[in-house]
Amino acid sequence: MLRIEPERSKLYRNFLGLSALASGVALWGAGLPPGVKAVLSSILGLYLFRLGKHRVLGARLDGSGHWFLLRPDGSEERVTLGQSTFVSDVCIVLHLETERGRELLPVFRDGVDPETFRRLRVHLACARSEKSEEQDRASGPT
Amino acid sequence: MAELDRMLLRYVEVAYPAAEEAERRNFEGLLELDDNLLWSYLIGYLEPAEPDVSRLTTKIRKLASHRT
Repeated sequence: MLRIEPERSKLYRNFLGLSALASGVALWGAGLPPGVKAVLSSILGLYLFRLGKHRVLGARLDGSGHWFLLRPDGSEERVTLGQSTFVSDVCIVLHLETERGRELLPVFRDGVDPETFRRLRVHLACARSEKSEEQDRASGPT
Repeated sequence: MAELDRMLLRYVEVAYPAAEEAERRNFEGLLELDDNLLWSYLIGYLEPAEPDVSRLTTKIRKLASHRT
């Protein structure tokens, strides 16, 4: 069983800050009318604010390979792991499909303990391998 | 422990797809161990009590050494 509850991450804050800065520079240098720039900047600001807010507390993988979303109110919801989940050495973004849509859970290396990050990475690599096996079986021999 | 990550991911990449169900379960069991114990098994400093797990750790070690 694996429980992931990312804490505040310096890497994540830096990522959000740099994204905001780069988007702001691109937006204000784009030669748009000032009113449009202001509206787009507000939308960008709201988007980044929403991204920075934790609507999801974490996720849990049980012994049978089922994923659960952990909400800040303590509730759990059974979800499926999206194939578009992003995995790198520094950051993993879990794409968790709920009945109401997709929830993203960014997990940065400095937001969880190293063992949890390693386990998550290896579990995801195994899941990916199993998924591709299933797809191969489903497509059958050619 | 970056080397530990590399060894485990190398196994997943190369051997996991062809592994039997029992070996996969043993591998998942290894992931539950704490880093120090797992590292000791994988470098051969300690040997797991169960023969199947011991064979698996040897396999992971060999795969990692073939890469370098």
